[in-house]
Amino acid sequence: MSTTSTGLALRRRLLSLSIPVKVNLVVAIFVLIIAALILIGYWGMEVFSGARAYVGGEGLWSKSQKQAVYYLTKYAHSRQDADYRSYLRAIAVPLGDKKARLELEKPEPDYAVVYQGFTEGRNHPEDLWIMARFFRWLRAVPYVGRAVVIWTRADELIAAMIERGEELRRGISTGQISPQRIDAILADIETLDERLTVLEDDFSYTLGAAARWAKRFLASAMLVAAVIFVAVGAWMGLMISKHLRKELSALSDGAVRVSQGDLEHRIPVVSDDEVGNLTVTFNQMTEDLAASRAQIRRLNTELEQRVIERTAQLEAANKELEAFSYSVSHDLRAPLRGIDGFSQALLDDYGDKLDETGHHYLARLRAGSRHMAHIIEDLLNLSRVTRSEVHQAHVDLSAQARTIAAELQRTHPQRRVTFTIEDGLSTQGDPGLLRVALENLLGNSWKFTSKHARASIEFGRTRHAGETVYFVRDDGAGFDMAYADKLFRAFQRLHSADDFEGTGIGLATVQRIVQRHGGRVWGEGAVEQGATFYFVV
Amino acid sequence: MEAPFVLLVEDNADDVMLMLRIFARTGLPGDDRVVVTRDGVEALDFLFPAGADHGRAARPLPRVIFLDLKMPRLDGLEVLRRVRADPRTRLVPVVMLTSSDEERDVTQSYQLGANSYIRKPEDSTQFSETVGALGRYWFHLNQVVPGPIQA
Repeated sequence: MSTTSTGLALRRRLLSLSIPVKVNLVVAIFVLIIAALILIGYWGMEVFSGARAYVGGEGLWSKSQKQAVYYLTKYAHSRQDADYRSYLRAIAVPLGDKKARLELEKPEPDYAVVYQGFTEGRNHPEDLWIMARFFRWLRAVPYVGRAVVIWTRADELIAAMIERGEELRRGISTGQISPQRIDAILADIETLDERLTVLEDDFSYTLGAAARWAKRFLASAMLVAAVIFVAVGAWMGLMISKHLRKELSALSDGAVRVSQGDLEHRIPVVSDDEVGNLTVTFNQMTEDLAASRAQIRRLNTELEQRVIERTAQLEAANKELEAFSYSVSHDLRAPLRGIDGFSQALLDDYGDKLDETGHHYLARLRAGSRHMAHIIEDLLNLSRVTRSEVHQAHVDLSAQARTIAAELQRTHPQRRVTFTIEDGLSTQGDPGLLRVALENLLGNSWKFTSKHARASIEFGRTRHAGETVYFVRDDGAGFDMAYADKLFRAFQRLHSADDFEGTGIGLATVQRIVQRHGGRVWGEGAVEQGATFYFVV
Repeated sequence: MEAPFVLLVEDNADDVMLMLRIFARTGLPGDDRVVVTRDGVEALDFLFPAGADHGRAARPLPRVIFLDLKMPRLDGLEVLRRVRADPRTRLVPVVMLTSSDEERDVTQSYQLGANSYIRKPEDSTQFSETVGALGRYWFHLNQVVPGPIQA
């Protein structure tokens, strides 16, 4: 249980590392494998090299021991000092090795003594420290321990042999030794030699066994280390790549979902590495996107709400205007009818009782009420023009203008006015409204040319600043350009009512109509030079 | 059989007086032959007296109804609707006589079954001509439904 949780914690910590660190970790594992193998190999070589050195040392040791036996035996027979000296030289080798061994057995050996000992043991100078180290490192290994035990026992036998050698030397140099004693000593030495031979072989075998053990141990260690490290490295690599793939596919799937409009989707964050950070950033981005979408929606709703409110206000205002016009149309006309009707009745029934002034007053009364009726008429038209819907249709302006001109000429047949109407003028717009506009413009021209004996009125088309512009031109009374901006205001009149009758609403109506078609209208003129009204629809 | 008469539904006393004067001067139909009611409620009370036997007209029907649009209590369009809804008055000619020339009023009146729609001119001369012509047309020229109207 605790191993599992430790494993999980480890896994979590591993996955939370950044991607380069993960990759470096896997690389490090493999570097470790190689390092471990190199280390084990090196260590193994050290061991083998040590074993070799000891086997070599043992050879020298054995050879010297045999020589010592040989020279001692020879000395026993020849009694020559030279032979004894040869013996001493030979026996120095095992003694040197013994000195090194005894020093190495100490807890803190003096390596100068050790090296001196091994040098006396005729070992190669380069092998000295290898042998010392082998001894220190592997003393605890059973095989090596046994070899050391054998070596110690051999040294004991060597000591016994030296004792015999010294006895022989003393006896021969003093001449106080019997031949029987010499034979007994030689027999002892032979026995010792035989026992030493056994130990020497045993030492070699033991070292051989140690080398074989070391070989097996090293091979197993290398195998185990390689297997463990490769397994760990492979596990980590696989886990990281699998995790990374899962994470990336979750990220890309999430990105696809979000791009398809699922702004509620959040990609699960499973690590703290770069992909994890990217996921967190992506989720944050999605959240911001959703928030801004929501805000846009809210603003839109508010805007729509405001539009609805404004529209309602507008509609209410329109309704009010409509109600106002309706009531004007009904309630203002009735009294006018009364005024005119009773004036007429007065004239009819009591006309003979009135003098000329009375008749004149009655005429003024009737003229006033008629003018008032015209104003009401024009106001209602203006209001209607403002309220009514604009129906789009093909409108033949030339035909409309000709009809209006014919009507004007029919009502005042005595006037001499020349109409010039360009053919084929047509546009898209509301036929009824455009007709009202043309009626007002042509009617104005008709009215303001009335003081001239001859007049001409023109309706045509021209280009103005790249646009098609229609115009109505006359050679009548014209107007002062200083007041051009006042022309289109309701009730604004540039001429006195005595000169030209009118209500001052006609051009305001024209402007309203043109504006409702998305166009504009303007006038040019000069006093007594005529006027031209241009409009674009 | 009672003498034929006109029902004039008009709240404006001036208009009533002027119209009666025009009728008198043109000899059509006489002063005594015009029943004047001052609003829609009065008109309906005249046409359908309370307590009258249902199913038959309580009194002779007018040859024509001259009906104003805008009146207190009950307007002309509502009167027209009731007149057309009732089987006894369904076929009585109704002429809308009003100051309004609003498209809406004209359309609605015809939709509700008005026989004619006349705008009262403000000009007294034209007004005289209009009212005189109306009287002549509806009182003399126009053929009425023969006999009592069956429910």
